[in-house]
Amino acid sequence: MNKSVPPKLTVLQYIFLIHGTQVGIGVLSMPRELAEAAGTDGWISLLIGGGAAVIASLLIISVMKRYPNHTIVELLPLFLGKWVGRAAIVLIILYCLLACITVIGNTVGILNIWILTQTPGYLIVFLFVIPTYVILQKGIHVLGRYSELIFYLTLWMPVVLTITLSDAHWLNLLPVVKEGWGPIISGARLTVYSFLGFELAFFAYPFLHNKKYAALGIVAANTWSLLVFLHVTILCFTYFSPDEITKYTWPTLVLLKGIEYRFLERVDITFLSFYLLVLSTTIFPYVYFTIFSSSHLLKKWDPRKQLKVFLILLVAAFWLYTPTFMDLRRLTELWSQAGLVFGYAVPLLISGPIWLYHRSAKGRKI
Amino acid sequence: MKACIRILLLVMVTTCLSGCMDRIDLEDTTITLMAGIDLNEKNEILFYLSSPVFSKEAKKKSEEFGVKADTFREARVRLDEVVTGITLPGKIQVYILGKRFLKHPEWFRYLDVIYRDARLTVNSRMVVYDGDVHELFHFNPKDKPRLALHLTKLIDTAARRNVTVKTKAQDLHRQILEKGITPILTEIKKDNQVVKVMGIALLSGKGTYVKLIEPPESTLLLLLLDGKQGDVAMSFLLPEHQERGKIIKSKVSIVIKDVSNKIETSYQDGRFHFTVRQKLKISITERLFPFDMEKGYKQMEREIEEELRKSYAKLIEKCQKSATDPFGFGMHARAYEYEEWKKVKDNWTKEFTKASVQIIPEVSIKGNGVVK
Repeated sequence: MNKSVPPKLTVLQYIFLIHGTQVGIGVLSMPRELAEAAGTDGWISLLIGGGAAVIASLLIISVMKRYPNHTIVELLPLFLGKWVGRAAIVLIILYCLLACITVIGNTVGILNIWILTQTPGYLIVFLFVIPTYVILQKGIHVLGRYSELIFYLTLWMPVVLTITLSDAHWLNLLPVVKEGWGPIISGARLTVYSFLGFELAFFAYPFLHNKKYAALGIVAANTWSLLVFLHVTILCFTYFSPDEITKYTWPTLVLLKGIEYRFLERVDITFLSFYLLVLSTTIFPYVYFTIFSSSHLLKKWDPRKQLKVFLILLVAAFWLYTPTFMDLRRLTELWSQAGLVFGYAVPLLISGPIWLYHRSAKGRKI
Repeated sequence: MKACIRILLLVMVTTCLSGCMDRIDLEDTTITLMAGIDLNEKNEILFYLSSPVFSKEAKKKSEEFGVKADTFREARVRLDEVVTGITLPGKIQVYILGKRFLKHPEWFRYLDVIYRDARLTVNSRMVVYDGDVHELFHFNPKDKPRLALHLTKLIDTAARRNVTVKTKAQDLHRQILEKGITPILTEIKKDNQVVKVMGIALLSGKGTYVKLIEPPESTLLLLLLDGKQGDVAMSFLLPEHQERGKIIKSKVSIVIKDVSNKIETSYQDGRFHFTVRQKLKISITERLFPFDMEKGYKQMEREIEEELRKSYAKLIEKCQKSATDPFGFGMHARAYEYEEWKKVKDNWTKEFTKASVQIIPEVSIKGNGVVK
C-alpha cells in the first residue's frame, strides 16, 4: 500500500498468489459436493469447471492487457464515470468482503469442530488478524512472497494424502459417465467457487513485472489448482464408498483421520493446523484487495489505518456474532453466486465492448 | 514507548496462545482404551469403559466401569461421576460389541458419536464378543498386560496371520453404508481363562449379526477380498495320498507368496455371474506323505487347486445361504453391469443369493523347501 515505490510481482509470485487464493476451504468439502451432484463422475465436472476457469481468466487478461498500468478500481471510474464508477467499486469491495468473511467464517467453523472445540470464534479470528496485519501492511510484493513461501512449505501435504491410496477401491469410479452428462454439468457449476481466485487478476495484473507471461501464468495457476482438486477428489472417491461419501461434511479431513502412524496418531489434526497456512493464502489477498479498493474511495485516509480498523472490526464482528453452520452454508452459496458474476459474467460482458472499442479506434487511426 | 506497546502486545498474545481454552493436563485425565456396548435380557443398553491406571498406590492396572445409559455420551457423563479424571475417548483402541447387541437391528446408530465427534479416533478396532461383555471387562488375566492392550495386539497379530479381519471403525462405516458389500468384524470369545480369536463375524446387509466364519475359511475369505496381506499359511488334506491303516494324515502345508484375483462380471438369464480366476504363487513348507515332486509337481498343483475350489464353493454357498456378500461382489456388479445393478441395488444381498459364483484357483508351486 506504499504508493511511492511501485511494488512488483515476479511471475512465480503472481502464479502462487492466484493459485493460493484458489485453493482454500473448497478442498475440504468439494468431494462431497461433487458426489452429491454427479456421483463418482464428479471428477469430470472438475475438468469442465477448470476449463471454464481458464477461459474466464484468459478473458480477464485480454481485457487488462489493454490497460497495463491500471487495476480494475482505477479503470472503473474511467469507463463508467465518477459516480457510477464509485458505485461499482463499492460492489467490488462488498464482493471481496464477502469472500474474506466466508473463508474466515468457515475456517473458524472448521477449527471449532476439529481442533479447538471450546475456544470462542473471535479469539481465533484475533490470532489470525495479527499475521494478516504484519504481512499486508507492506504491500502486494510481500503478499506475493508470502504466497510463494507457503506454497513451498505445504508441498508435502498432497504426499501425505496419497498414503490413503493403499485403501483405495478403484471400482468405485466405474462405470464412467454412469448417469449421463446432466449431473456432470450440474456438478461443474458447484466447482465455481473453488476456482474463484483467478478474478484477482483484475487487481494483480498491473503489478506483474513481466507482463509477457500473464496469460501463461494464470493458466499455470489454474492448472495447478485443478490438479490439487483432482488429486483430493479422486482420493476421496476411491477411499469412501459412493453411498457413504455424501454423509461427511469434510471428506478430505475424514480421509486423513484414517491414517495412523506409530509416532503420530491423529494426522488430520496436524494436517488441519498446517492447512491454516493454505487458508491464509486465500484470506490475505481478499483482505488486501478489500482495503486496496476502499483506499481508492477514501483517498485521504492512510490505507494502513484502514487495514487496522478493518481488522479490528472483523474481530468485533465475530465477538458479537459467531456464524452458525447454516449461516456459513448460505454465505458460501452467496459467494459462489457473486463469484459467478464477478469472475465469469463480468469478463465475458466487458471483453466484447472493449474489443469493439479498440477495433474501431484502430480503424480510425488508419 | 512504541517498543513497550509491542512487548505488551506480545505478552498478551502469548498468554492467549497457551493451548487456548481447550487445555487439559494429562494428570487430570482418565484415558479410555477400550469401550464396550451390550444389550441385556431386559433390552437395556449397557456401556462399558476400561482405562489404565497410572498410580503406584493402585494395585490394579486398569479400572473398568459399566453403566446403563441410552447413548454413548450419556454413559461418559455418568462415568465422570465415578472416575478420578476427566474421561477422554480420543484414544479408544477397541470397541467390544456384544453379540446380543449386534442382533438389535438399529445398533449402528448407537455408534454415531464415533463418526460425528471429530475428537474421537476412527482407527479403533471393532470386535464382536460372543458372551456377556461384562465378563470380558472384569477379566484380569495375570499373565497378560492390560486387557485393552492385550486385545489390541491379539487382534492385530491374528489379522496379520489372516485368521481374522481387522475392521476399523472407519471401515465399518464404509461397509455398512456401501450397498455392494456386507460388513465383517473380528469375533472373539472368552474360553476358560484365555481370550480367543474365533474368526470372522458376518453381518447382514442391514448390519445385524448373521454367523461366524472360522479359520481356515476366514483365511480364504480374506484372500478373495484383499489378495495377499500379511502372512498366509494353509494346510490341505489330500485324500489321494492317504495310506490305509496309518494314523498319519496325508497333509500338505503351504505358504502363499502372492495372490491375484481377476473377477469377471456378467449378467445373463436374469442373474449375475461372477467368475474369479485366482492365481496363487505358493511354496510348500510341510508334507506328511512321500511324493516325487520333480515328476509330479503338476499333479500336486491340480490336487491343491481342487481342494481350494471345494473349500471356496462351500464358503460361497454358506454366504449365499445366509444372504451376505462379504466379498463385495456387489461393487463389481455396480462397476460392470450398472444398468442391472441399479434395479437391485437396494436388495443386493437377496439378489446375491441367486448369483452364480465360480472360483477357479490356479496354483503354481514356486518352492519346495530345503529337502526334496
